[in-house]
Amino acid sequence: MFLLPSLALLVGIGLAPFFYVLLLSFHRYRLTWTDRPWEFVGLDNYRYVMNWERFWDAAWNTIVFAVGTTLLSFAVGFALALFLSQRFKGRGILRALVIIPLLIPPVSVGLMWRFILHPLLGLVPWIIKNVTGATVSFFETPAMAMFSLILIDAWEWFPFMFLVLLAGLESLPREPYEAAYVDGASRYQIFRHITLPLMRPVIAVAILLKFLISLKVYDIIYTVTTGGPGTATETLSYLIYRQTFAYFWVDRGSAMALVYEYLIILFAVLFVKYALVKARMG
Amino acid sequence: MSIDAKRVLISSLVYLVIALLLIAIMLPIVWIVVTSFKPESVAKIPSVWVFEPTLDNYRYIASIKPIWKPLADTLIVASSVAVLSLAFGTPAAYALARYEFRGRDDLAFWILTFWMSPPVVFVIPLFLMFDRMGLLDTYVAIVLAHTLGNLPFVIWLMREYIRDVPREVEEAALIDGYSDAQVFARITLPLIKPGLVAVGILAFIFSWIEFLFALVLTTFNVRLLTVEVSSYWTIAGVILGPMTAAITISIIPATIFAFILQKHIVRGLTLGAVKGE
Amino acid sequence: MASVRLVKVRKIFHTPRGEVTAVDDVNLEVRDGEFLVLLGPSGCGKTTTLRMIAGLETPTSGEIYIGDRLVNDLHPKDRDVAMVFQNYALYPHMRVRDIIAFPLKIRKYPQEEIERRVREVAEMLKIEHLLDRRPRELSGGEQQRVALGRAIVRRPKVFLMDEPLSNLDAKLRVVMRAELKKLQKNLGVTTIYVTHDQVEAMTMADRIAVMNKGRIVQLGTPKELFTRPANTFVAGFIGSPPMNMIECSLDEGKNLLDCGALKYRLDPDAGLTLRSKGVTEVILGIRPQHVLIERGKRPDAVAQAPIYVVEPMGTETIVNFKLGETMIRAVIPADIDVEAGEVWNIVFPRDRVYLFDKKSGELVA
Repeated sequence: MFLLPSLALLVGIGLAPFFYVLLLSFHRYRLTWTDRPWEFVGLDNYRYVMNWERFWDAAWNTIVFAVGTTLLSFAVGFALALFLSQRFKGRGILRALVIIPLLIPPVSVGLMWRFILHPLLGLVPWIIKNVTGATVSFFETPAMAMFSLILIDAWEWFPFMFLVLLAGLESLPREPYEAAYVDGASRYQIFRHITLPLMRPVIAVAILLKFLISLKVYDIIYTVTTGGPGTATETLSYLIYRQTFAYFWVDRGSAMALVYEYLIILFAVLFVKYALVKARMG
Repeated sequence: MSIDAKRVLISSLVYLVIALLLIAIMLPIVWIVVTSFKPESVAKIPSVWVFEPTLDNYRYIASIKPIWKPLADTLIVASSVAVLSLAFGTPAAYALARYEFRGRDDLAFWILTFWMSPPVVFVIPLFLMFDRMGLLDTYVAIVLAHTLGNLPFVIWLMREYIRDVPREVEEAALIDGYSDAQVFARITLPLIKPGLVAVGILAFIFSWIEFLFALVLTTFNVRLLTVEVSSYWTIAGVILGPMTAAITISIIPATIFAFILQKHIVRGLTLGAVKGE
Repeated sequence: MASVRLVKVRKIFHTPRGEVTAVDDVNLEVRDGEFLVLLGPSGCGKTTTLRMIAGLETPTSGEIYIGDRLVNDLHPKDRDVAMVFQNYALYPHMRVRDIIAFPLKIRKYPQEEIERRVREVAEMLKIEHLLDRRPRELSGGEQQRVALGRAIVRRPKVFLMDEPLSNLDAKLRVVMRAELKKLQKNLGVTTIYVTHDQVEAMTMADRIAVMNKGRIVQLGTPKELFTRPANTFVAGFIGSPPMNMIECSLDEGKNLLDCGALKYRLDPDAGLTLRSKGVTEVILGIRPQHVLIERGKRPDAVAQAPIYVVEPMGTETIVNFKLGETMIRAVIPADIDVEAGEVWNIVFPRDRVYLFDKKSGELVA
């Protein structure tokens, strides 16, 4: 009885659209075809997508991006979590300050950084030029553009890693630390032999969640590079969006969206079932 | 070098790196806010650090390209989304936390797959369906879409909070004379009030910062802040000063809520996989 | 006031690992005004039985009556029962005064009536000074009293108590045991009390229903359970230290029980009973308090053995003998000096020995 309203909502505007997309992916239909009916084409759309190099390029870009930003935000987040799990004055304020990027609209984050990294208008290239004399162009080459996107996304998301890992650190039992301290372990040894092993499950959860979130990236691609230069930073979400709402190929977009969805769920299920269980036990 | 001196050197190096990191983290926000008070003549010159602050950019977004409509709409939408997400999600969370029934855990996991799905999968059919129903560019469409997007995490999170309430307290109330619905409304809800506030704020923020649904499902009748902000820099060019002012406006809730949410947000983002307290 | 009657009540839980029968065809009649204790180890179904009477669980089959009314489909609030929970289950967001008044408020009693009754109950439980506090500001014992107050204030037909004393420290538990018993007698309300603590059960109950694996294995007064345990389970569960249980087989010709390292001569009647029932494999039970030990030789000694361990308890001493694989304990007055290693004669007085059928566990003679 309590479940009904929200189940209705999930089914109504959650499950129904899902079947709608599924249906659509077996038909030929363009957004501009207002008076033409859907034309059944079987697996044509899937065949097209599977053989389309740009789709696989976008998939590759998405994975490169996700791996990069997950690792970078993890490194920064973990360092800060270790630092801010110590007791000192002003810790609360620092903790609140560093999570702000997470609560800013990604669109704003994107534009903010596009401005700050801009070759002419930007603060960062200006600083680099004045300190080292070198001219750095953050969006010109495919590699640099991808690097910049990873940098921006990691800036937005490191607080997530920070918060999760900090919560993990604070929930660790005290006794092993005290025992190791009494045994005469150095700070590094304590970190290496006590903190890391105890934190393994939390680290696994943090990395899994951030990786899943990164696979969905859209907003900052739209605002910072629009997939460029060329299609070098085009991710799956962005490609599907462009195909559907800029070129109006809803059918192809639907097929791609479903393949994308299944890959993500498959990954998530596999990860949850195996890696996480292993981390818990190891 | 003595061991002590070495230790001091290493730890001061560590603190220096942390300090630089913190500066690097805060710098972009500071720079945007600073730029929003720069006069137009120097806004595009990164080397200018000292200038006479002006409200020109804010005047621009107040009158020439007014931000009032997007701001009001975003407040309306985000508030409605927060309320609706809790209204739909909390009872469902209660059922998933308290009632034993076949397939309960599968149902919970199924709900979670919605959270894992890329929004772009849902935006295509929602666009077509709302179009067919004539709901495109209405509050109803965008509020429903955002509520749907929030439900999985609201349900999972509220379930965690509800599980923290001892079952016996509810049972005592049943025996003392409350009906099931009364127990939920008068015993459970008051006890999870902190959770409701935290999750409500998170739902509000997620709606406030969402972009893709806003971009596809709304245009003129409803205009959301993220879409408005993105319109300052397009292929057609950039309106820089006012853009920084608009961005500054868009990050206000973040700065307010960051202090309140510190603890609760962890549970929110990890769906309870890691506890925040 | 009312009696409570359970007729063939059964409860099956569905778990991921399959079906579990928590309560298995339980029949029970609790008399009006009686203090009945459901006693058993954890997982024996006693709490589930109590929760079914409260209406917190629905029986899979069978009937539950409170008074003459069939209550199977009645909501807990309509059963007119009050329950005290193990962890008290006080409403954390209310003050003590409101917690106690809560059941009356819901039933829309007039304000003066509520105030009068809360005052009465607070006086009775000596918690007048706590009325404006919140649960987290109370000690365990105080929370316990508030939980009782909430149950008493309504004057329900039946009190249901689920291990209400188990979260208190040992000293307080003894005090509350006596108070609770007195309170129940004064109020005269039918009470069903769940516990796994046999001392609690023995001291408080009018009658005890011992449960094991979802069934009631014996129902009787504390004295009956102690003197006539119906089976090995009850014999082992009640009494401290537990009854000595020794596996023996009947030597048909000699009217003798062969128990490995010790031999026990049956009295002729008992031998006859065993034979008439066809029981040859026997469990011999005797309470440690009834085992006699003597330094001097005795013709009726079942064995002669060295003391294995001595456990002084203050007013008495527990002496352990090891006979082959069997341990035998005897409780003796503390003023008798014993030392490990000394050889003593062990005597089982005939009128204190219980004989159980090894196969069924039932008492035979």
